[in-house]
Amino acid sequence: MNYSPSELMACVFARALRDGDTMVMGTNAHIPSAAWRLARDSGKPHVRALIGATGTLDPTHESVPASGGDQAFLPGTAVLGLARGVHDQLRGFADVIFLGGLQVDAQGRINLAVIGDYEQPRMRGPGSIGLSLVATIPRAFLFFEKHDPRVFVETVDFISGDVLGADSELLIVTPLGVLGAAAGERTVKLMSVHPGVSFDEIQAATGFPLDPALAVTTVPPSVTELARLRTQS
Amino acid sequence: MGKIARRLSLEALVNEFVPPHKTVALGGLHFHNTPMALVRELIRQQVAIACLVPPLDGSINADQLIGTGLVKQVLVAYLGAEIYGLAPRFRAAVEGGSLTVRDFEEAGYTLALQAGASGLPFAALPTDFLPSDQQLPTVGSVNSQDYRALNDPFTGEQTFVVRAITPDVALVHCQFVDTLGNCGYLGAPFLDADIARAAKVCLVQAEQAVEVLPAACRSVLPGYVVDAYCVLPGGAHPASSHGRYSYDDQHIADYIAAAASADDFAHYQTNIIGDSEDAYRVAVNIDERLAMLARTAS
Repeated sequence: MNYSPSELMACVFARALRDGDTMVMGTNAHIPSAAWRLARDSGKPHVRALIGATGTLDPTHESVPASGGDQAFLPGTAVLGLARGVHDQLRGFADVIFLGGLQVDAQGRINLAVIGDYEQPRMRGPGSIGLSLVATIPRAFLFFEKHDPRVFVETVDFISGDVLGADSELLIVTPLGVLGAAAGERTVKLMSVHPGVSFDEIQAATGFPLDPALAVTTVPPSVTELARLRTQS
Repeated sequence: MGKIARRLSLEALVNEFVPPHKTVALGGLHFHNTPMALVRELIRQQVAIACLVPPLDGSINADQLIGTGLVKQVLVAYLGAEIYGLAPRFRAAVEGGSLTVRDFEEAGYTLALQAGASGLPFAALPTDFLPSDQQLPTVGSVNSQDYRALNDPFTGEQTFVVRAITPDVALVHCQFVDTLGNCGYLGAPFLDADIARAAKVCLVQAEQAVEVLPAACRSVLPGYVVDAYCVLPGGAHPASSHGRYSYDDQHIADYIAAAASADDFAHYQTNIIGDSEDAYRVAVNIDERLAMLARTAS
């Protein structure tokens, strides 16, 4: 059965969510939202979602709005507000946070502030925003639309968040494969390569060394998973 | 001394209440519920801003002010265009060395605004919250103006504190204002409650004046916070006004494309922002746009 890279990414995240998790998502919520609903439909009914911008708990949107601050994210079990949502993440009530970044490095540090020298940046990025919250959220799920050696670098140029330094778990899913590290580990390693992608391909797109011995194939979406994904409203 | 919120024109709000070389804060989040008419008026009156405090997620609001060269320094937890990419004029100004950034992150920025809103000098972050490194820059190492390490007086453990943000003027957008200056929000107020209280002076642009705020309001900013307001339907355009209209996708996409070049930004400033809010409304065909973007409260 054919499937899109986004559908595979949503499946990988849904499998990694555990019943009882509270996951935080914001901008570009299509994949996290699909993963959340798939997890709930797959025997994990107690997975909760918190929208960062509005503090909405378990939103009831029909189609996922593009922008995190869209009013379509307001209807839900409760609207806690942005500040209360931040406090709940600091307090440790969130289990998983979905994030992106300009750079991720071999030690699991993430950067959304600058590329190049801080004082004279080659590229000024948007800023560190919620990447710091990996310090109080035990699992960071990162997703990228492209797997690019300019993103997956040996050493970040700025540390917006230090996932492994905070003893948090890291799971990175891209259109090419899955990288990550368990809590307590200090180095990002290859977890799997997507069907149809070679080890050489993912290594060439990654700016730090991966171990070919770990190049197992990502389990493709099952017929059931795809059916559940495609019947989500 | 108690406040009696005054209703003024958009022009008078800026002219009377926003002197040059002050710290100016903006409400909303991304391109939602943010005071774009007031932003445009600051640009028309060429009000120099010593320090700009964008929303937690700053967007076209801060990008337009920065593009005109009015801003000397900006606080940044996030300043970008979200689904449209980066904020082009912000990026160009920092990379060109003409704008100073004080880098924050989400927790510190939120707590600093809440400290300002509560009259606290600073707020403490959880122990070991900020990343630290001897070689690489972090928020804690590049912004000692706002972040400092100190020892918890109770436990002796080292923690970071963040200094209160206390703007001179806050500008916010809401759906309703009543005769006592109470401001009603049909949608998400984001951090407006804190931004408005943290500032010495709070100015509001409301979509509509009412005798009594409707029960549908999800949140209310009390009139005792508000110094003056104007009433301007559609004043958040091209941003959204929750419960009234969505953001103008085409306009924002066009702006982001234009702002990639200084010349095209100047063209936007001259021909779209124009020399009056009335001129803006004609240039963007506001009635037609708002009808197309209309939303109801959810």
